Amino acid sequence: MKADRRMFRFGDAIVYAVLCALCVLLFLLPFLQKQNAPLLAEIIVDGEVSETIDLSNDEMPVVRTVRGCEISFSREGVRVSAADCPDQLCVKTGTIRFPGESIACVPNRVVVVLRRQTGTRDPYDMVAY
Amino acid sequence: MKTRFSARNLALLGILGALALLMSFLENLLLPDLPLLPPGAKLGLSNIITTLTGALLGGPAAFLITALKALFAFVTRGATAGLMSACGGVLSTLGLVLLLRQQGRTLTFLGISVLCAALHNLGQLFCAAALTGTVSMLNYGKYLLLFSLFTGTLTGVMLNVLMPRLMQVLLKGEERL
Amino acid sequence: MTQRRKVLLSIAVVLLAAVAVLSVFFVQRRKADYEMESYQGIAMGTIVSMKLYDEQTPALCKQTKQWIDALEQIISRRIETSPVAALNRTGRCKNGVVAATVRQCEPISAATDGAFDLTIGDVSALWDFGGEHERLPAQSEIEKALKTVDYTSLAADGDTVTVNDGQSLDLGAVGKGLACDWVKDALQKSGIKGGVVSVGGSIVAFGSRNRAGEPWRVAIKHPRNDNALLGTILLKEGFVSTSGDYEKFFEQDGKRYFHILDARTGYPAQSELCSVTVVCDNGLLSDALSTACFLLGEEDSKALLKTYDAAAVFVKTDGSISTFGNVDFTAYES
Repeated sequence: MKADRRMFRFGDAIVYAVLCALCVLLFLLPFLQKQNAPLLAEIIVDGEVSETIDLSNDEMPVVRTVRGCEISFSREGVRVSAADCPDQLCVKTGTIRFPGESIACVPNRVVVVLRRQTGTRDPYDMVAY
Repeated sequence: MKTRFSARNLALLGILGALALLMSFLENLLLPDLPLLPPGAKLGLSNIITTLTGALLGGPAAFLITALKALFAFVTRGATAGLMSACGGVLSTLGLVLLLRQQGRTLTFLGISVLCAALHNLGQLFCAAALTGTVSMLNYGKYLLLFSLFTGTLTGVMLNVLMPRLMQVLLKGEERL
Repeated sequence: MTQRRKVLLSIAVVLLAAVAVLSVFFVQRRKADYEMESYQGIAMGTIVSMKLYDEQTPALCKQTKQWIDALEQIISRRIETSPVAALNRTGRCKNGVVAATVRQCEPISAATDGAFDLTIGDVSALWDFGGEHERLPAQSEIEKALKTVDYTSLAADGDTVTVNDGQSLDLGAVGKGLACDWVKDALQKSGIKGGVVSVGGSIVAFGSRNRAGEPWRVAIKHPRNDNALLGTILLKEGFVSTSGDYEKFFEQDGKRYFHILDARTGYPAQSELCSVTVVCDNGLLSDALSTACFLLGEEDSKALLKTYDAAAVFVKTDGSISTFGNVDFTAYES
């Protein structure tokens, strides 16, 4: 290891450049996706979708408890209102409102993801009869 | 870089290890969750130690410190935390070892720290995604990346300032550790 | 490696990565759908379903529905103030839409030897499929009503349409297709990037749902299984209409009576088909042709379809599916 008096070198610039570019790109990604369709919340347990809740449906359940995570639904978004995990990160995440956002309770292996309704494509656009 | 298996170096490793755990502990105590940021985001102060170890004592030593941190996380915060720490730590330390060669030539500790912070978060993210079995977790990635740019800069600057002076002290009269 | 080479190499790597990332970004963007406005409602006594696509979310569905309502005010024989109702009462009316429709359907009536006939109004009224008085009329009633069925007496001169005394026009067989024509014209004028609209099962599709110009997927309802689909037609743009024996029907004494009437007999068509789907570049025609082809049967339909450069998917009562003409149809595995 070299004793180095300089604070900044060329390589550092490259690292910053690459990471910043990546960052910008990732933030732009949502603008590929459409904003206006109704929201669906997918509850994923152990990697498999166990339930999908339509947030635009007036009859949706308000609360679902999955594996120790109490998930609350509303028209605007979803949050984990209580959980039995030690870190409580899922609760601290707060409310998610946009498609693509998710709340994860990693110890319980539970994830809630918001999706747009149109994102799940039907195999057809319209039916003729 | 090769380190002599001296008693002095072992003692140094021990101290660094303890410091790493102390940093981890303090981090979690003082800043359990920064308000605006994704949960799980950490300041990365303990990464200073890992980088220090890598620079002073070499790659294997750095991995040891990483393992120690993971074990500590496992014991104090649970299996999930331990696994996440391990994933993030291993990826980060790998990057560290690869980049250290360039330190002093094309890179300073600034670039190294930033990249290692990013890698650490990346590793943890992949781990979380694997554990929960979802890909959607990766949406966190952009926030963590942004955050790691800042934390990495912080730790990197500290290292850049600290290292030359530390080297002076440690190498008093000797050529290498 | 020299310092300089290293620098150049790193720059090259960064650029390469940037290019890779940007291309993924743009490819995804092309495949990503435009903003969509969707709608489900009732118009023309049937279900209307729309999906409109544009750079910004369109706000045209309600308006489109109103256009369809406006058309209904012209062609419905049940609406007393409509030109068609006036025609049925007085023997004449003056309306460009009705006149054009009459003109367009005349060759089809000729090609089906009168089996397809817009003047079938009196007979349709007897059966009243889908109405409150749906029933099996007596033979004598049908014979009496048949006397007024004669497309050759239907004349359109300019905007004026005339029929013989007692004749009754029923545009039910072509109304939905006509609505599709109207919808397409209006929506294309609005400049939106694409849309697919169903008026009671008659479909109009134009433009595309994304920058990649992906074709539309129009599924055909399964003639015997309410919850299933027969298959999918891929089309870039056009009109799709289906005539089937399953849409409006009733069963009596073990026999099924469905709403596709043969104007020569006054009774439902005798055909080995249970469903015909026609793809065409005109809505009115696709609707008229689907009825005509059902009446003619598969073999005899082919010449007619060729004349109009249309394609079709035939489903026989035995379940066999066949296509004719240029249509990209894929049947689902059953």
